[in-house]
Amino acid sequence: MKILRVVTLTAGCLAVIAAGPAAAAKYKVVDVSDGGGISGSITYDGAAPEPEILKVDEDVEACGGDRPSNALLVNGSGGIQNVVVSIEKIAAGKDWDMPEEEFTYDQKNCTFTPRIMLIKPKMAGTVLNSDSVGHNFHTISKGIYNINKKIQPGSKLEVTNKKIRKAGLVKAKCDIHSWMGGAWWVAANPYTVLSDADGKFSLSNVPPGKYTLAIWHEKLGETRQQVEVKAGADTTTDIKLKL
Amino acid sequence: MSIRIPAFWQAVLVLVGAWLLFSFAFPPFLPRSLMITYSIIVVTGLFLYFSSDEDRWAEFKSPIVNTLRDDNKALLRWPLLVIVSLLAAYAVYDGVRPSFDKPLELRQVHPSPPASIKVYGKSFDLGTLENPVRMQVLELLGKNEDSAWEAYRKAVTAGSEIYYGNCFYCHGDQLDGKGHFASALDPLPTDFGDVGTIAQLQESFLFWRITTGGPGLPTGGMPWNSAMPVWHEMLNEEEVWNVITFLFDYVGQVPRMWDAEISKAVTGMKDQVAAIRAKMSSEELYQLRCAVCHGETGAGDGPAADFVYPRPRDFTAGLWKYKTSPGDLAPRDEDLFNTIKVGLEGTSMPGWSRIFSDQQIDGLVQLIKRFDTTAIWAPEEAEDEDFDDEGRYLKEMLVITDEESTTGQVAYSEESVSRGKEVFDENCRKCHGERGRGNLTSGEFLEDDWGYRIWPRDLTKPWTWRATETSSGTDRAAVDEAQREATIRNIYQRVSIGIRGTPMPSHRAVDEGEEDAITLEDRWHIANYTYSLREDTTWPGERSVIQGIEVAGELPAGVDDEAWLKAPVSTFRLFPNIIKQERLFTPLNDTISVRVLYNSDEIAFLLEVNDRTESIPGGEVMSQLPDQSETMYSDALALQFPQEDAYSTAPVEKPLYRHGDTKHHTTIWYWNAGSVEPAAAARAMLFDASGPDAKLKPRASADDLFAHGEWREGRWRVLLKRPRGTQGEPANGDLVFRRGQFIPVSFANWDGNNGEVGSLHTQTPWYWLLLPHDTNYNLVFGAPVATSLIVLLIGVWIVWYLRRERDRSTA
Repeated sequence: MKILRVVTLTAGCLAVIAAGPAAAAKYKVVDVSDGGGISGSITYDGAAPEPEILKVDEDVEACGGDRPSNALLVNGSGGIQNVVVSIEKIAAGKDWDMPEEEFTYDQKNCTFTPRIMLIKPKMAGTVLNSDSVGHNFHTISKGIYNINKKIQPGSKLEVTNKKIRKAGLVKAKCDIHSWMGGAWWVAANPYTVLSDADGKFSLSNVPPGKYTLAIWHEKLGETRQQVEVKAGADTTTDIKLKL
Repeated sequence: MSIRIPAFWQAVLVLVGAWLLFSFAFPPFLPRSLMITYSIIVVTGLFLYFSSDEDRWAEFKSPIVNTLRDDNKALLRWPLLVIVSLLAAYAVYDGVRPSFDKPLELRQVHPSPPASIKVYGKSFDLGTLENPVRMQVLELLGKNEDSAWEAYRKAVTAGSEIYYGNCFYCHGDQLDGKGHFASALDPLPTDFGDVGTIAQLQESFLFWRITTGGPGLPTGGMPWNSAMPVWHEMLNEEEVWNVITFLFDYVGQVPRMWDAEISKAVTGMKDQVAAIRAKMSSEELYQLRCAVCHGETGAGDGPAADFVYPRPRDFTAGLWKYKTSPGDLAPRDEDLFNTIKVGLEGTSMPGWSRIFSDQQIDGLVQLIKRFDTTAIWAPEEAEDEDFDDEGRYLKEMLVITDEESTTGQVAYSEESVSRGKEVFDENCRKCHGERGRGNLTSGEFLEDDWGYRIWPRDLTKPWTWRATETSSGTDRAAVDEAQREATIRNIYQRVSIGIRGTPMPSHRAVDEGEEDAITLEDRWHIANYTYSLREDTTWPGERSVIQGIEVAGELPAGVDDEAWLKAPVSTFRLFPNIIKQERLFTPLNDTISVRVLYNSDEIAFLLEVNDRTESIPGGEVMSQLPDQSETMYSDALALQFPQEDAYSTAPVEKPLYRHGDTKHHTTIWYWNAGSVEPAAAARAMLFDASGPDAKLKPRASADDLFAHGEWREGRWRVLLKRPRGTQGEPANGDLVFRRGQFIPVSFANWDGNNGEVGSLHTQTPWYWLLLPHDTNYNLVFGAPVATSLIVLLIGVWIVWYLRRERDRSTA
């Protein structure tokens, strides 16, 4: 049908939608008997930049004054906190060791606490407002439904287990106080950790094999690193990041 | 046997018939003055006809003469004479009373084209010129049908891209002349779908109209009112032919062609396309009509997406602005259906009811739901395997049936509005401003969920409310109580569930354990208060002639002077300069309001523009507001008038409204808010303009132009004052502001925080300003009274004369 081409300018792309490719394999929990570990530290490459000073120009009394940004936290020896380290596309492995109970995310002094929170899909939780002013709790993500709700002082928002159905990054903001920044990292598998205040991380009970480590930081972006895990052994990998 | 109507009554019947014909047969309606002209012609014709023959004339006049003469007609005669004299009095009164009727502008819609035009450095003979793209396709059609269709498809696709990058702002998504800036224009852009337009024209006519634009029109086409750009400056020859090919393809019409053979071949192709289109699938329909804005995969990233604000919806993100399902639930199918069918006023999304059947819209709704990657239409128990790699749900989609409740509506009353204001101040003011003008008292830089800059709604302008406003948005008087209640319910729903994808949050508890951010009752009060914000607004189109008001003594020196309240406000739509490079596609300020006061020496204009930001570079603009990636410029406003000898009202002639032309110069009064860094005070300037291509010439001195501007609560108010020019000889050929004279005036606005500077600005076409004549009561009432007496006397004399003649002849 030659004329059909005239009308269906680019119908081809729709075929993809109609019969989509096979869905991503679901993570399977199995017994890991001979697992190894991956640990290391994440450090800033060179001298860490001075934290940006956030200007507080709205509700100064309730929020407190200007403050240094906590988006990039580097300790005295260069260790970077709040870096998400995860094994990419691992099909099967240990059970989730994240707490089963609900998460709590707070807004205090017009700052999100904690800055970065690690959760798993279909987890329920509560967003609190411990301030004396209202916040517009607003999440931004791709493929995960965005929340945008006014939370009055002392009030809260319930995140039911239906809300966050998929893994991915959920950024948090408040439209009234633009300096407020935070994020939830929804883990795709249990091999997902946050680096501590010294920039240290460790993943345990990993089935032997070759993996790609995905390293994400809010300001420093995403990098990848290949690692090999041997049965019963600990692999150390040190990662350097910079702006 | 036939009934013969007497000659006199024949004449009356013809006259009544003609009047009815003129009144109703030419939609929408003829102007009054034209009706009168036509009627006079008919009456003259009737007289000529009946007086051309002695017998006919005698028959015609006999009932008149009888009535005036016969003894048994006295009861009819004297009231008739009184009525005729009163009618004469009214006619005179109508002629001498002060009138605000605009001068008549009769525009030829399809003026005769010249024999040839010179563009692209060559001469085109319009009599023989044919569309080379079409000719090539036709030539191929004889040899290889496949490649002919291939060439045709290529031209239409290329033409479509040109159209949506350049033309659709005015001529509309559906080529119906209803583009999102069309309502600011007069005359309105051509509706290509109307069979009276391009289907009647040769392609060479379109080539002429497109390449030479408004300025290329002959005087009868009123080039000074046309916003049509001179496209040969911006598009090449091939692009113009491609877009012409696209126009005919989209509306399913063929151009007028003289060669019967060629015409038949073109019609054949059109019929084949029409046959295919009649049975398109939803996917094909979407790709043909929707993808240009919403993108091939529904991500809101079609080729036209970058040129519109607000941007087209991204169907993948699960964020639907206008929905009636409760809380966080996905929209109901009806919500999507209504948006497609009715469109979103004030955006580039038109209503599609003219083009799509309800069944086709249903199909599109189902297709659009499939684009979603956030699982909002997937059941809770859906497994990971039920989604593709992009996160699109592959099984049967949910159909949401729940509706957001609108129970407990609080009646619209003063008490409710005043309670609403309290709650509004507490919860909404930081974004929507003290008076709802969207001026962000928090000073925050707002982004939508895709990271594009977004501004809070100006709640004083209902015509920008998309789906929330239920009235058509231009006629306040036509809004009835039911519409008001419905609009308030819509506002209530927006407050309750928020506007997804924007910073507007929800204020109602959805999940257990939560409490409402604002109670049900207070949400109704807010809705009532928000509705009330329109009370001080003059809607565009409510008044189209600016009427100056005379004041005794000094004119106001400030913008808050009580005297301004005496002058009626006229509000006009602004449209961005999409006419000439460098062009602006995404303006923020959409209307300008004007009041005019004058005294014996001076005239003063108060211009008002709702502008969310006071843009004075380096000044105290709220810290986060400016877009860091863009330069901020000073806000500015301008008025334009023709020079004294550059316009007339009978017949109407004006300069081209973009800076006049070589024969018709204009004067521009310009005010600029100034800047702190670099240091420049707010200032007034005068410019001479002599054509769209000529550089503006600043006057060395603008000492006689007084200007003062103040920005407060999301609104600029700028006073511009200058001598009327009635005292002595006005310098520089400037226009004299005479009483009783219709004066063309146009407006321009620069929103410095929207990157507007130089040619990047908004503007209006010409409007009329009138400083009314003093009412001469002797004339207005004296003349009709005198006329009726004279008519009555003449009548009495005729009766006396006719009776004397009769008596003589019988004697």
